[in-house]
Amino acid sequence: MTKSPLKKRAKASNRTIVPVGPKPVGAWRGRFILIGFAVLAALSVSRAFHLQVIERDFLRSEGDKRQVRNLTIPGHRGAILDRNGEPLALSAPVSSVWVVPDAVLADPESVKRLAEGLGRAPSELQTFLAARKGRQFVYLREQISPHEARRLLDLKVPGVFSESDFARYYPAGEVAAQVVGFAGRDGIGLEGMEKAQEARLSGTAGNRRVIRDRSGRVIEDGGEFTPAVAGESLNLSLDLRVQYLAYRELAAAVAKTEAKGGLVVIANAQTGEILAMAAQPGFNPNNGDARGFAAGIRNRAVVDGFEPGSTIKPLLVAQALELGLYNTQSIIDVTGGTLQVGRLTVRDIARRGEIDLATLLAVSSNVGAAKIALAMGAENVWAGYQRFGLGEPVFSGFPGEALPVLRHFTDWGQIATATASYGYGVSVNALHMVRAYAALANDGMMPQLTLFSDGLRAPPQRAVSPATARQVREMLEQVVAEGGTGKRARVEGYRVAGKSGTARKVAATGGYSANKHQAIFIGMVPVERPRLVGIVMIDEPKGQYYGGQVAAPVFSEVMQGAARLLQIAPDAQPVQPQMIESAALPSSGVTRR
Amino acid sequence: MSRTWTLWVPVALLLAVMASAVTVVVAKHENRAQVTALDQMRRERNRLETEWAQLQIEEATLGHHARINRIAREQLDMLEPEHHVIVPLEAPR
Repeated sequence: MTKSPLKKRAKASNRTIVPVGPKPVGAWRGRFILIGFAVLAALSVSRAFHLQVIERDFLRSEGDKRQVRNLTIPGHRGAILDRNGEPLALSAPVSSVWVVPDAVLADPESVKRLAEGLGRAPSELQTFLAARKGRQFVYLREQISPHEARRLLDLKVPGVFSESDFARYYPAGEVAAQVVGFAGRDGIGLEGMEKAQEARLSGTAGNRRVIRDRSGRVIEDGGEFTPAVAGESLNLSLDLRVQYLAYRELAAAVAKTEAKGGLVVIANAQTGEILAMAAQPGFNPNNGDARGFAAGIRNRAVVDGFEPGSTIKPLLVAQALELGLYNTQSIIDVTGGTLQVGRLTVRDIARRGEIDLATLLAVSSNVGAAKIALAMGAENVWAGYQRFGLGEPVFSGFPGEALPVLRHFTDWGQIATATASYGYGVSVNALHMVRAYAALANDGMMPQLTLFSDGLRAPPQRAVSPATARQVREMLEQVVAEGGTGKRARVEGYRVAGKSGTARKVAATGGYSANKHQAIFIGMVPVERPRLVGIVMIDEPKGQYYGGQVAAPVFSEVMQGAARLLQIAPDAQPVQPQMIESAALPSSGVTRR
Repeated sequence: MSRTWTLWVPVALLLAVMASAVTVVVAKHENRAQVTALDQMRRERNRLETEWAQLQIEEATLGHHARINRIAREQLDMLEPEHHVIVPLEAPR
């Protein structure tokens, strides 16, 4: 077989002499191939160089964009709880649904489906979207439950997206609104405890680098990981049950007296923990739009100063007893009901003759108080108020606390000394008075008030001796007895000590207003070993305006409920058996007697 | 002896390389499976946290004192007992 071509060639070579073997190849062909390969190689290398070196960063970032994701791990904001763990402020995940209008408008069918899902009329949604044509981002529904958002996304309408977020909820609503405050939409505290404790409450978001596949599942954890730090939760000293009671009774009283506002503070007399702090008017912290302008945001109990009026008298009497200038048997002559001090005429409401200290407090004699103060001298009166902390801040930790105004005694003349004895010319906030009365309640040891149920506490300070505190408490019990100004503060089953006060408000034109008053009642339960101290203040009540008429009944209601809720053992003499039988029992029949 | 060495060393290395390659594949696969499982757990945790927050809010809303107060008084005709019908079982301390 191999021979035949040779034979053919041999035949041909017979005619023309051609060299045997392959035809010689031009040297250019070899070079051509070599050059060709060189060019191709250079192209490949240069392309590789281009991709690997020049465009490397760009390409890598583009590649990562399609695969590597930085996932943000949200750091939850801490909850605010009451002392029993009931939530007062909580963060919960919400979703907001947004659309690209053009993408939705492209298909009339999808507008119709979306409108159905939203429960809106298709034509209305059509106009809504058409008005926002060309925009890339329009909120459709904001801050709805993730479940609801899922339902809208499941309609599979093109151009509809959702983003998740956290919203703050205040389950207690208006009840503890001023204390808890609120956070803005960005989750930063704006008012109240939310603002004061921002550093503790706020969490820090973490992130995580992951590689995802096309369908969005995480297929590789990059290992780079910043953990999210959740905010601490905050346990307030408030007891929501007592808080609700205080809120309810205060709101009812403010509505009934058509007052401008009011406040209630209830504190544990021994530890200084504030169990309830309610203020009226209120606001709903869950109502994001309106709350920013509401008048009720102010926590009156802390940020408002007022003149304590007659409620300061027990502190004056305590100082008088402490100094030994007076004792429980001392008699003060208040005959005539007036006392001239320079240009000032001190007046009593009820005229009495010669009275002892207990009666002085029970009938709230201004003349008597002024006489004691003038006998003691400015320095002693001032020092007495200082003992009870009226000259220093409460350090409640609440933002915007009103500072006390207690001028130095060297600035006091006779008139200032006399007015200070019945609570004018001195400005404090409600917590000052609660703290001072807590000292009387706690056998002279004045606790520092706190709004937190945990954390470090300043130790109590001695204000007056135990004997003095006890004597004043027993005198204050007379205030609530029959014939005292505060008899409507009585709490059934318990011995109550307290003091009413009525302070005229400073008028806008200067001087004291004739018809604008603040009705105050401060008291403690039970007298023998007080557990609770409370203040009720009603601001500008219409009609009746005496503390004993307006504020005392609120005190009674709140303390009655609080004593039951906190299971404080009754200390009053048990009611006689025949009285139980004759007493009208509720028709629902609680008893099986 | 030396001939056996020259024959078996490459074979052993080859087998080792193959085994290592298979192990890498298995490890990678396991890694992915674990990551997927972890991711699912995280999602589950998120879901549960969401639910927990919502349940807390729901509980607080349903148990709001104002609501209980209204239902007790209006629907169930309940009254707060007067003090004198309450009998403390424990002796006052």
